[in-house]
Amino acid sequence: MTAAQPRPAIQVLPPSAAERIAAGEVVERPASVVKELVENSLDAGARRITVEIEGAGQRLIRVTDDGDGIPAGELPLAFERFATSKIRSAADLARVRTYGFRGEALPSIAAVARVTMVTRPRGAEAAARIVVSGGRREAAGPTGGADGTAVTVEHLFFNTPARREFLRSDPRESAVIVETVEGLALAAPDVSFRLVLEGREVLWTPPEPFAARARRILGPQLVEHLLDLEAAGALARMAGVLGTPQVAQPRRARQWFLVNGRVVRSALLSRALAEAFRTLIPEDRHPVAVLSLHVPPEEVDVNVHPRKAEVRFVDERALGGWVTSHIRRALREAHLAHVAPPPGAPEAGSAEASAGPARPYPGPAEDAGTGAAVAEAEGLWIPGPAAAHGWPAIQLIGQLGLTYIVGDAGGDLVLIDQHAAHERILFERLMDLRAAGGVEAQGLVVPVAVELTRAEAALLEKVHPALRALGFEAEPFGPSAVRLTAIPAIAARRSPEELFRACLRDLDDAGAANAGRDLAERLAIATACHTALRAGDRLDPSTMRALLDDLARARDPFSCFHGRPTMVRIRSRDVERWFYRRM
Amino acid sequence: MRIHCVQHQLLRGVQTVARAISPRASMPILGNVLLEASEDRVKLAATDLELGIESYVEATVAEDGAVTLPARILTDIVSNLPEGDVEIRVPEGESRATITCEKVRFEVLGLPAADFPVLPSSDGDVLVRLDAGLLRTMIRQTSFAVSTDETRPFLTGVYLVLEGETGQLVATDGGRLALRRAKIPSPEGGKITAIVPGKTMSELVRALGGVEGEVTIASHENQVLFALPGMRFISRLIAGQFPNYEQVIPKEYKQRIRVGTERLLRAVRRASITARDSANVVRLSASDGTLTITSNTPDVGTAEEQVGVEVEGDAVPVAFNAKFLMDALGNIDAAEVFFDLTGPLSPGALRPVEHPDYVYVLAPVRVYG
Repeated sequence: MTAAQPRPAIQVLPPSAAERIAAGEVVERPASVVKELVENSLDAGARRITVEIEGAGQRLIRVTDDGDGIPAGELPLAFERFATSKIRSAADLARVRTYGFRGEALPSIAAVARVTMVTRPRGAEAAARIVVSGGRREAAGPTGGADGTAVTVEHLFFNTPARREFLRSDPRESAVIVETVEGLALAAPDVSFRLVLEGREVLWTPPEPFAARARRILGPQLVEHLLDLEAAGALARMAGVLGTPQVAQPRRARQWFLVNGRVVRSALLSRALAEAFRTLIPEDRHPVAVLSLHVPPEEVDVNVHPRKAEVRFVDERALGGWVTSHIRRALREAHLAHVAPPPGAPEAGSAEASAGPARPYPGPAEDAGTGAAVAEAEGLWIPGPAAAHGWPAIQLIGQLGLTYIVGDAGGDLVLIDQHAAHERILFERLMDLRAAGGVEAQGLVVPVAVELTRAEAALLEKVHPALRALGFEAEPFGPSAVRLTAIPAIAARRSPEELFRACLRDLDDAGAANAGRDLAERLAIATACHTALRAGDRLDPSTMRALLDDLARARDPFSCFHGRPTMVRIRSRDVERWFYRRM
Repeated sequence: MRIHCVQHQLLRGVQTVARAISPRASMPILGNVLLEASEDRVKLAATDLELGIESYVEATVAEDGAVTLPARILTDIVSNLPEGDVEIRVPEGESRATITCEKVRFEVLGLPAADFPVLPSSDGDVLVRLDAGLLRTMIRQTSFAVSTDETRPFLTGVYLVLEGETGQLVATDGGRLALRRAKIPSPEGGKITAIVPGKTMSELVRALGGVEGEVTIASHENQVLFALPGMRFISRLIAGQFPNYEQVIPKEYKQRIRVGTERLLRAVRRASITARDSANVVRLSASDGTLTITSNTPDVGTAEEQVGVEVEGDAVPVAFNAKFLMDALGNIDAAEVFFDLTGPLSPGALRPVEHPDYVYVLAPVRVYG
């Protein structure tokens, strides 16, 4: 800074500038406007809410409800900051039951757009209309209109070009809007929602129970792969819908968490969900789920985020464990085998179903009767819990390509990946042995010398006790080598050196694929993985039968611990369709 | 080429050599059997380039010559021919064979004999002559212990040591080791140490089953040749250093258990029923003339059995892989064995009571509780 320039004096900003700055906190992108307006509608007791979007929300956002409306006299106040009907004093803050209460939303939006509000309280003689643009009132007066409120937001960010610059592409902003409305629809299942995007109806919901709403929001493609979840305990009540491992997504997009009826982001709940699915899905996939938790208000702080999008819990650890264990229990009770898609259907885990926010929304015609109706018409509807049964009885047919065991499960064709299946069996056996303290190490009459790299040697020092607990006996042998004198008995058929190195290597990678697993688990995984039968191993019928028996006894038989499925089931009726025995 | 031979002799020859063929033969010619007629016999040969097997079939040779024919087709044809005289005819310069037997006539397309890999014709330097039955026993008592771990190829064969009056076969997969010695009646004075692939040994055992007489063992560059009456096995050797096995064999013991072989085998087999789910571990403990064998698998069950034995020394409770025990007990060919234990963490040894020529060393399973 040069001395020539005089320092600008401190001064209070003119209201217009201050409002625009404040607006930035509330109105980040078109979806924030949608959220604020729909929440206002919900707070106004609306039973039906219609959201219309044009130009990805920049040209037009209109939210129409059949709620209470605002008396004409109060209308101008609605656009004043900190003007609200939802609380009366600071003391009310602790008892907030409405979505909004700070009185910031409307003035913030109006500061950066042209807002037209038409509102008519039930029984009022006429509707009132007010237009505010860039924070300045442009018109007000009586008009014609239906009961309820319609807010139209046009030319969003017309006076804040910098904010416009930060917006993403139109499809992306539209997707965020869709996701926002979906979240709001989840939070208010008793309200009918309609979302019209660029003239196309992409979402319509009748008032319905929460579980039905959750299924509808998750989409018709997933409907066959969903399980209902319900749990109640001292810490919380939980209800929700879980996607089976088969429909786990490459992104976290199909996860919704509601806490006390409000959609929130919660690292805790994400983690708890991921933990429950651990080893059931690959590390780079994310479960599909809608989870709604009700916890006592004193157990949760909703005010950590200006938009109340995040929450903190008082006892995070206990709650996380509770959530995980109940999800796990629901998964254990269910039949989680991957099911081959019926002929001609898009695969449930495929791009079409998994593209998340950017997925192409089905047109109105397909969407009109989302979920149950469509599925029922095709005869595919299987209610989650009713389909839930354990591992099926499998009659062995044979081996396919030296890789898969082929079986008959009550007329369905099942394919079992021999490596994945054996991995799962060995993994659980190793973990059990460890838990029981009965690890068995096969001694070697001919010890194996293993040359170590410096990194491996350094690592070995750290993990030596854990390796020993698995059954490896390694003694120093010269400066950069060890001698293996015993290896895990369970792995006695494999190359000791290869197994040992693999275990060390897997530990070295700890940061990546195995994050969150403890050492013993990682070692068990490495051991099981490198011990298990491989693709290409020829199996005789008795070995295959034994494998199926062992797998049937496993706790999580449907996937290996890398989250790959052990079994894919091809329904008999789909086989019939292939042969045109059934249309 | 034009020959006459007897159907069952031809069949035996074809079946013997066809065992060398790999089901995943990389070249078509390696799926074929070579037929080479000269003087009063037909030489049959097949190979997977690791192992070559030759068999000689008596024949009336009207016209010398050679051809190769697909092994599967040839086996199927010969085994389905009526018993009697078989004529095989190949026109000069062609590789199409006509096989005739009584009223049956086949024409089979083959490949030229010139394309067939050359197996060494010389027997090399003969090192040793051994009785076929003895060699068969020696191989049977050791080859089950070879490793299948391809990362340590030198353990996937049987180590053959011939020196002076002693012949030895040794095999180990790391967890157990089997060693069989034999006296060589009339040593030829050579010395050989070679690792012979497990597959060669198992085919040799099979072939030796129907043979009486003497086997000569010879070496030829990196190959070993076994000449049996009517057939030859030519095998590539496995490169690498076989582990120093002498130091593995316990020289003393803390406890010596003398037990009936069959009695112990049955007990271990029974105990292994409830050991299957874990690492097939059976536990042994002997004192006061009783050997107690137990096994225990959580979620499956337990077994316990007492066997009357003679015991010398203090009790050494120890656990072994049941399969390791059963493999040895089933092949040891002795009414009674010494089971020498050196400690719960150190190898035990099985030896026949009758003779010192066999020893089987097995590492215990360590159970951490």
